[in-house]
Amino acid sequence: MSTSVTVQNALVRVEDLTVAVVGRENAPILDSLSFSVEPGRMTALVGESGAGKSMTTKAILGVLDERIFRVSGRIEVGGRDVSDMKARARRRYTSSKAALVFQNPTRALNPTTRVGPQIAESMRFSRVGERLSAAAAEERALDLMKQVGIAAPKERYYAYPHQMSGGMKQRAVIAIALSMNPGVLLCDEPTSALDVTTQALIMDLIDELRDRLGIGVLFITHDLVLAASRADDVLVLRSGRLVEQLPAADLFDRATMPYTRELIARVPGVSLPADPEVPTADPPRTAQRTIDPQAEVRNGDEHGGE
Amino acid sequence: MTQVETSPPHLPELPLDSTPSASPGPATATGTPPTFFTRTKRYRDAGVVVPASILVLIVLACFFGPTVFSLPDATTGDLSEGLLPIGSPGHPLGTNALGNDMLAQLLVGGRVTLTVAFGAIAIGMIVGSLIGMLAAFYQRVLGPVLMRCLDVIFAFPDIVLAIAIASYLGPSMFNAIIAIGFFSIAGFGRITRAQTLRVVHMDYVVAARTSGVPMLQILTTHVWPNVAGRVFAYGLVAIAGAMMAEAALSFLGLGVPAPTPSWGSIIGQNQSYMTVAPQLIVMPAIMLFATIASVNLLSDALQEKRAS
Repeated sequence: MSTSVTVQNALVRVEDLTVAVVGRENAPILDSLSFSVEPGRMTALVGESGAGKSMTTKAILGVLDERIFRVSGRIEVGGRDVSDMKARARRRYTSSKAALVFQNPTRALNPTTRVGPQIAESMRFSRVGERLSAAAAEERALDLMKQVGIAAPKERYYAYPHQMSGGMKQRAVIAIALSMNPGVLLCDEPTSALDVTTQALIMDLIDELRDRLGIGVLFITHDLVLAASRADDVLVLRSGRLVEQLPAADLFDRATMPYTRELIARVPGVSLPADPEVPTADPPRTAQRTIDPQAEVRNGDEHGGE
Repeated sequence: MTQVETSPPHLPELPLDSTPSASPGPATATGTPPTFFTRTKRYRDAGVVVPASILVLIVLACFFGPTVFSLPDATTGDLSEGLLPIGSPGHPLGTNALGNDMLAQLLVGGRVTLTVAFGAIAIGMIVGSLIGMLAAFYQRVLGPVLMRCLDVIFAFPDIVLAIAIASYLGPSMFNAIIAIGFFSIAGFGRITRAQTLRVVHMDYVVAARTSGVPMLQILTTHVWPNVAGRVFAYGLVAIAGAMMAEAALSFLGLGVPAPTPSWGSIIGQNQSYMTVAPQLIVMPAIMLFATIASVNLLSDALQEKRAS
């Protein structure tokens, strides 16, 4: 019954991504960001508010207003460099390869339209890929609803968003994201509007979809514990710079950068190893590596008051 | 898949139920295909039903009353039966100076007034809301150009503009609709643009745009349902204004040409009899008042219902 989803080999690769407000290029919002999202893996992007987490997804999707933002660097989606493509063609191409799961399901669903038709919409009307007939789109929407764990999809199909709980709405949002067969899901704090139990269920669902469909997940969160427990790799972002990149399993034990350690120290109930390694000026280029030690020095003062 | 790994270390692991997919449970029938009954349920309320019934009654009476009650022709009268008082045999609401039956005049005149008002507002709403939605979507070039055009319309006093257009096109019902509809475009454009701007940055619109859903589809499914309530509420208020405008045009002789009556022209033609037979002016005024009041009450009640 499950719908097959084609997986592209290289999902998202970002090299030297820099985003700045036009006229303020000396203070970029994102500064030389490089990372990639592999099939079947969950990469977590962690950082405090304003670190540039959401800006990264917007830059990947190409929805930043080029009159306001200057984007440079190389962005590859589905194995193709999209940074030089024309805005409209790029958005259409990108939307067939990558889908965004929004933070707030209430804003992501149209309150005046029933949920099922919203899931079916892009399959019926999108100019990207092949258009399905009304009946075929409905059938696939019902299948997607089942896949994301919505009970009694036939009845929920005609429910309005306000008739659903927050977790159920987020499931519907994920179903919409899956409707275009994306290779990668960009999840922008998909659980921060939900309570802890619902959050766990949604994370289970994302995990399961990743395993079953082989899609890659870029998971954006401010929650270190969530990132460490669910993701494969963790990227720590601060003021638009990648501060540290390491496997999630090592996050609590082997984080070296002062900022990461500071973040970890603020998680209730977590204690750091007593004897931290001192960051070196030129760290080894291994899986666990420091991206920009200078950023720590430069930004060290701003963080004191938080 | 019920294992929860996300609880912070200091919290005890919570026993969680399985996901909804694993336990369907009692299916709450929240979603059923829409029917007329479910669509109209929340509007069953005295505040909505009473003014709506009055409005429907007036409309039915105007369009079917003269035929159903086989009233005398509204425009042919016997001069010897002029200025009969209310309650005269054969003429329940009396006659005017030319001996025309006043009841027939009021009902036939209502046809004209209502047709012009609804027609003009329909034009204003369709054109204006389309302009407003497009202006909110294309904010670079098209939007400002459209809005400045609407500003030009706004800059003229409504009735002066309508008089100018009506006198240029010549007196006829269709031209009155055009004249009044034209100046009502600006208000609808403004309201719709403001409402659309509220919706256009919502995630579902952004998602639909980026995934290549055609603009027409976005406008009809995502934008219009979210702005229609306010636009219709404004439309009902504007209908009242359009009726006043039609009455003013007819009063000035720029509306429907004589002898076809309309509520405005009845008032205009009978103003010289104000002291002798004030009912000739009061009756069409009451009709105008009743219609406009019920339209406004309906508009308020509907807005309240939508808000609740």
